[in-house]
Amino acid sequence: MSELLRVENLKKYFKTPKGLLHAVDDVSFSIEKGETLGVVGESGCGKSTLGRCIIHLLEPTDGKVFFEGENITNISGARLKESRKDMQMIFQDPFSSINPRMTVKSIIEEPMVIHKIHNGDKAKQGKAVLEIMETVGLAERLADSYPHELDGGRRQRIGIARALALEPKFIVCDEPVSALDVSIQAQILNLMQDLQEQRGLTYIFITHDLSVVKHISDNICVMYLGTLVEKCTSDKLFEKQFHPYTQALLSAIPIAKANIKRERILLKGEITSPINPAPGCRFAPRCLYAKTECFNRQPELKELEPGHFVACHLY
Amino acid sequence: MSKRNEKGVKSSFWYDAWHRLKKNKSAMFALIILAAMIVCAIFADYISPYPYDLQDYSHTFEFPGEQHLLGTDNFGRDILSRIIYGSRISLLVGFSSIIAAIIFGGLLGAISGYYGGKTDNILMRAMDILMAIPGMLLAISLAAALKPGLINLVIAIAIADIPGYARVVRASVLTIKEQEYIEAAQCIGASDLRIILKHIIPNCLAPIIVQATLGMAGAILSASALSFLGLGIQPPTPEWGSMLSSARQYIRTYWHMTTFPGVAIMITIFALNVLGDGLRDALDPRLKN
Amino acid sequence: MDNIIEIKNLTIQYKTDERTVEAVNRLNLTLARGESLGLVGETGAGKTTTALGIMGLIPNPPGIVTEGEIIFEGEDLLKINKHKLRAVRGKKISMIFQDPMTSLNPVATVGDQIAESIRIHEKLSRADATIKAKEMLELVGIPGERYAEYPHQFSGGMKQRVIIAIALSCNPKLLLADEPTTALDVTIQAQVLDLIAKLKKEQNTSMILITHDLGVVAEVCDKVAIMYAGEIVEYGSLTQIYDNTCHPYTKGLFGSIPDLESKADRLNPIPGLMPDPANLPKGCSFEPRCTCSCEKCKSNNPHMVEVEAGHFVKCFNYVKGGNA
Repeated sequence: MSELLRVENLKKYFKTPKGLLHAVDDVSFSIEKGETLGVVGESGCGKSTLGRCIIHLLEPTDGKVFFEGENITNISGARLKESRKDMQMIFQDPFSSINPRMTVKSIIEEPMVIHKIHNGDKAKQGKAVLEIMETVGLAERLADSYPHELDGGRRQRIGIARALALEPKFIVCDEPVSALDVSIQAQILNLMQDLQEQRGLTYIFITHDLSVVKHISDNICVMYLGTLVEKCTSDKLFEKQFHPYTQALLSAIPIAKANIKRERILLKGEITSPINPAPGCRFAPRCLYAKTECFNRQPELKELEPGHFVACHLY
Repeated sequence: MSKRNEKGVKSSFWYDAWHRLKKNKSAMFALIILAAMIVCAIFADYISPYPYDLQDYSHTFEFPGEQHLLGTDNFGRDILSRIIYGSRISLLVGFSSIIAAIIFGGLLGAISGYYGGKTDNILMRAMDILMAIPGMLLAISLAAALKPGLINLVIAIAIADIPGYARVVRASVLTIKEQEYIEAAQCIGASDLRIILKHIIPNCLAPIIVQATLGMAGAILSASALSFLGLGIQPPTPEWGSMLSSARQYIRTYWHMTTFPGVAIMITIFALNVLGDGLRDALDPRLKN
Repeated sequence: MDNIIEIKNLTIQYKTDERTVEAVNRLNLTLARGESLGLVGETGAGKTTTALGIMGLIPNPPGIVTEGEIIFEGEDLLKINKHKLRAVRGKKISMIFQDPMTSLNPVATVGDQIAESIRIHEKLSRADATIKAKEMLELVGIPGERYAEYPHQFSGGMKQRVIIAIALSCNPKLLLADEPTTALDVTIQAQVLDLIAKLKKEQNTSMILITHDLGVVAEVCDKVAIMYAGEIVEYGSLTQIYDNTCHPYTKGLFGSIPDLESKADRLNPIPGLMPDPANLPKGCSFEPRCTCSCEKCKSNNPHMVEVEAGHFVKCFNYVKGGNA
């Protein structure tokens, strides 16, 4: 196994009328080739911003992103265009992520046209489109359909096909199944797993759905208000959580089983937004175990057990 | 919706819009009137009973009758023929000034909306300045500064219309820019130009078309008004506005000289407005299904 | 049994020029006083239409209730006049809508919105209504001082609490909650579910909880009805549905959810897509996606069969027991 992507001290701040919004604050991690890193957190925790910074849809404020050992944080122009072939993205909303005026075929073929993959050979390109459509489970007869004629599941397959068209090594998946019905969601998750096996893809899987993230990821990062609070392998995280937020988050998932009565940790208060955050732990105001120290100094990630990192003053 | 496709009938946004428009009786009626007018304008040489500049001093100020269906004017020219030829000018000015305004206004609006920030600020403040001058006054001063004539008339009207289109396009670009498919296009490496032309413009065509249809009515009115003031088309070329202008001194005695060109303007404007409303309903995605 | 609501043969269609969408088809449902029922199904299953039907809020046109009875406290809601229905709606039956962002009026304070709904149904003075509205706010865990704040000053979870306060302000007999927590984050969802369960217990309100999330149902409900293509395909108590799943669709739903406790490599999704509600199959509507269908299913629509006391399944080939 070798490292494919490494993120070092990534920061992204937005200027808002109320002050500086710390959307992503000092996040570091790395991903091995062929694995899936799950990024979980609730709305406003900066998980989508993180994905967009990695894929160059947003310019990070500070920090570095390495892809295959190369620093790609500040690339632009032709080099950036070239890197698009390696990194792609699957979006959340199957209704707004594809252009309603384009046919299925033209959506999937657009990346090939832009990057002149087939040097204008229309026949070859058409064949390639049909191959990808088959891979993602879209019937050939849909090639000339418009998105509004299709349901959410099929639209999401188009989004996946578009991301695959350039044969990338790495895909950022931003809540790819959260807008879908359960039965369709399972179909798409299986498809994504199959594609990973066949093509050796590496995923960052951003989601708020813990059961989905457990199912698909090898490693998981838990985020809260722009900071990374806990990071370890997927199996381990669900066995043992250290950070109080992770504990509360996991206990809050409704489980589809009758007569299971679990002890649920109810958090007080609401998620605030990280505008001009106070020093100290972002979670401290809601934390059940907060000490004075938690309000003064921001905790750093510590390796409590091999491979299990937690940012909390309790440990 | 998917059913239609399985039956093999092409279904697209424009097909659906046309389908909805067809159901709107008044809009279809307006469309037929406009089509008839365009046909008249193109084949004016064959349709009109007399040449537009044929002066017949033995038949001046004739009321509508068998020989001259809509009567004759002070030079004995056939009014019907002049109205038919006049539609050429009106439609030509209407179309070309609107197209010019759409191209420039649309591009400015798209750039302004897409790039935002300073670019947006500078462009939009310039548009605000243009908008602060009443459209008619701006057209009059432009037409007066340039020499009277067809092309200058088009330019004067187009410039006065640009801010309107720039705003409409900017507003829809701002909404479309937030859609994930724009991010998706950036992700696959599409250039800004490609994103604007291929992903943004086609998605804001609908409001532009509606605005253009309604705007064309205004452009035709402006053209007539400028010609009425002597700043537009010069005689003897027939133009509805200038016909009205030269007939106004006879309005008490020879009503037909002012009435018919006026009616021609009215029908055209009415048809364009009805069609514009119909298009708005047909193109509004909220009314879908 | 003392039933609060009985729905018999409810059929609701949306008719447009081109097509007729059969949103709800001969739906039967009863709910005992104080019970809560989870109505589970995917997008387009007809859950929300059913709720709107009970409230008498089906937009007409294009929606028409073509058949059926909705008997609430001995009266058929479909037959009583508009005036009477309005008195029932809000006072005896209230509804919580899915989207907390759009169900509140942005230009009125939250307190006034609660007070307004109290004053519509109860003869209270403005001052008394204000006092009661404050009590309601406290009840859902919002400090009374926030009475005069506007919706935009509240977060999503807080807004949903306000909506719950409005819905409960007249002590309704029946509460219809349409995906009340779908738009919320997990930790906030936990708070809101907790609140709903607590209030329901205190006020002995019956509830129909509409959701697509089997986990949420397991937390709050006593009875479960699984809906597919406008019909209820399986109905029973929570344990019956979850531990003795019979209908292939229900089994498919369970198979589609990733399990938190065991690590399965792959999910077992239901193949195919929901049928077009304007063009439902002739026989069983689930037949095209069903793994255990037979010839009979293609031509005949099965009736409800009682497989054990109080557990009904609409399938010819149901297999008792366990999750797939």
